[in-house]
Amino acid sequence: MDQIYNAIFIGSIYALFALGFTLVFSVLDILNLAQPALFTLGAFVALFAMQQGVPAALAVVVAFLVCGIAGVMCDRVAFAPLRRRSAPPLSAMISSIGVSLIIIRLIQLKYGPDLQAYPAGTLPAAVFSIGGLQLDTLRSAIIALAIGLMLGLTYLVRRTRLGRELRALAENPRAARILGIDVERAIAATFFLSAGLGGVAGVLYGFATNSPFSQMGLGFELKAFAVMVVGGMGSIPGAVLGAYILSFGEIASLTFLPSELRDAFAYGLLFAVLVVRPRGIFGQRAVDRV
Amino acid sequence: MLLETSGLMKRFGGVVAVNSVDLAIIEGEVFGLIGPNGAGKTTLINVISGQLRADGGAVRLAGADVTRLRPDQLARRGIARTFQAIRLFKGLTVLENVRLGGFVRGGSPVHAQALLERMGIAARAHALAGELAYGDQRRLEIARALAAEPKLLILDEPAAGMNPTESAALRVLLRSLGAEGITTVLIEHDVRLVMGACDRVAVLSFGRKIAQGTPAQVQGDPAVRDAYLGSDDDA
Amino acid sequence: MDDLGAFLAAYQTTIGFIGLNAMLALSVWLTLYTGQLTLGNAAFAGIAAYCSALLTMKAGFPFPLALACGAVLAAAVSVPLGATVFRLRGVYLAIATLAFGEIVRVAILAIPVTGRGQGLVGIPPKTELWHIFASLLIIAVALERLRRSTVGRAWAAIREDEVAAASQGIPVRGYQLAAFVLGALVAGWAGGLAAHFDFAIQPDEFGFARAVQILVFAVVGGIPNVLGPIAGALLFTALPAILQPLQEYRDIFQGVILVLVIVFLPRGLATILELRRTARLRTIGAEDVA
Repeated sequence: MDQIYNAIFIGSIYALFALGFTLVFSVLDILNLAQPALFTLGAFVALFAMQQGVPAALAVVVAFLVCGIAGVMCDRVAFAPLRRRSAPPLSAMISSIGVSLIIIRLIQLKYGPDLQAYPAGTLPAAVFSIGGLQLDTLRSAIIALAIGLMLGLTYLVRRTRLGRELRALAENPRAARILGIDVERAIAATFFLSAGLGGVAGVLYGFATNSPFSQMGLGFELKAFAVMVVGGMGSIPGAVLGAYILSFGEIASLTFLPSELRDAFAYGLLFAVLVVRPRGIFGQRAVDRV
Repeated sequence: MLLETSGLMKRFGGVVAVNSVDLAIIEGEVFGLIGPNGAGKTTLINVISGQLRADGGAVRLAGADVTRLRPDQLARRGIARTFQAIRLFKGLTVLENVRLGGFVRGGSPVHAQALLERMGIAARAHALAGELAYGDQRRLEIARALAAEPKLLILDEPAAGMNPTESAALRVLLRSLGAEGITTVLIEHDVRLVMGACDRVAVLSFGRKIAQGTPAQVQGDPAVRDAYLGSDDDA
Repeated sequence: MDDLGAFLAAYQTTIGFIGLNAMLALSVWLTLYTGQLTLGNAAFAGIAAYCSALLTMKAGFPFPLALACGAVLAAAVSVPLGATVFRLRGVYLAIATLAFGEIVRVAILAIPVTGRGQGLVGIPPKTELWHIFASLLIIAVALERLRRSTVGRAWAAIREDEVAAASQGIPVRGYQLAAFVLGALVAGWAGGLAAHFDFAIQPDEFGFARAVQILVFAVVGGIPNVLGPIAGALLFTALPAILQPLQEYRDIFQGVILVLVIVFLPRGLATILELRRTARLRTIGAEDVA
């Protein structure tokens, strides 16, 4: 039972993180490889805030805002100029690698490469039971928040004007422009949300493990790719579904795999999907006819 | 019979873009494919030349079934084409583009240069393909296709954007291809070009072939007029 | 001459790594030249490094034979990998090769004979500087000649427009795969040399960070010809050594330069040598890497 709870917990974080990638990919067709850096940034922004005495809950909001703005700035600097001359997605991917290097290194310069910890006593440590299950406040709050954010995002995409604009952009950028949609503003919103969600995922993960460190984004990055490939690149419901498939699969695989190879499950799944059905569950065609 | 299609089908989701089309194209002729915009002409061509996979039916080239072959395999069997939205190697030189066109024949620069002369763009041999004027780009694409010494040449709206002089020259070129053993399939909206260059014409509408015959026969066909009703295509 | 001798001795490691990095950059350049982004070459180098080291240490293979075996093994692994992943659209390819790299790293950690996390120590230091530079020279000349041959011209066509290239009879997948496998071979050779240069190797040396690093060399150096990647490797390997006090900020420099290059000089620094052609490419909107 505890395993299931764990799977829900870790799946929620995978989902938040992957959603950031998915948003940008669905609207712009590029893989923002700076996303893991924003994930890490979130955890450290929260750390910094809490070291100044900001309470944990507020630190999450701060992280969301700071990362969101950082995401928009990344776009201005590294992607927008490429868009202006219709550069292929490859260039944007490489550019995002550069951004990622800068952000991670800046974090390392301030905090070093080792594991950090959030200030003592700032994180809820209470445990409670429901019907024989041992649950803790922290992870429960994280799950609730993550699910809340996912629902919020779904609502935004389906019911709001911004959401309609984003979906229009994803379908057909030229038509969207002709219809009068302020494309640059919509793209900025996309990056804000994507980076914000990634940052929040980072904070939540940092809280849960209480050991944020500068390379934490990397392992997650690959899991996020597995999530997206399984669920279908560019599909929001796919990312959520893929996240839980992965997390439950990982927990299940622990019964027959040694723990060092736990990560291998994600990569194996990723590969299997790429070979058998690259488009994943909800994705677009992934194979070229040529 | 150089090229035959029987019952060729192509669907996109719920839309049937090519609906059971039968064609029988004779060796050496210039065969026109016309129809209103969205009729499925380019889609049909894309299936024949391998860019799209057929959902039904067959394509036969000189008797052999080539339905499932990839574009590069079809090129080696003698099919060459141009594209509706010009697909040149923009960052490479004009000469290089034509040399690459002759890839299956070795890509000799001498041969390429001769083709540039024939198409009247030899002066721009070392310009980048993307720097050429639109009409010159169209001619370059044709030169590139001819470099492969194809048996079947497929041209998708080659006259789009050409002025009357240029399209007259194109008409002359098309008429000379048959004598060189090249069969041509031509998608065009330019009525004068179709009337002047084609031996036979097929008309597509909503994915179906609705008429076929000599240009004169097709022009007089009421079904064809109905298909075009309301849209006066540019000549 | 004495001064030269002293200089070489003091900077031997750096000079050696310039050569090794140049070869690795060339290996990435091969697939970039066909318009694809692959992030698996560090893993290929790692496979060959471990293989050749184990052969010299445990099986007493002569040095050249061990190097060859390592390189061939890397190339052999790349064949099924490439055949599987090259059907996929660009971004999937990047993800798949990234995942492959991680799978290799996890595999190394799991197989006892590799020394796992501690790495392999006590490798006979058989690599001399002249081995490295003779290899580099031969590889560079061979690749440049290949680039100017029919094969290289076909690769350029594929990079410009895959659909058009296929319709001219170029077997696109086959040629891309050939570049990929050749790249793996070159990376493998460099990996084997690297293993015997520093007398110890660790799995982390061949992970994602390294893959990104060699990508940076190739992209920043430029892809029009083989000098680009070599120049990129030289710049980024020599610079930190020369600017000792700025070691800390090396990643930030790399990141900043990467973004600047992609945005302003997409075909890399080598294009400074061909400014006129680059300007012409810019006017027709064809200046990007892929």
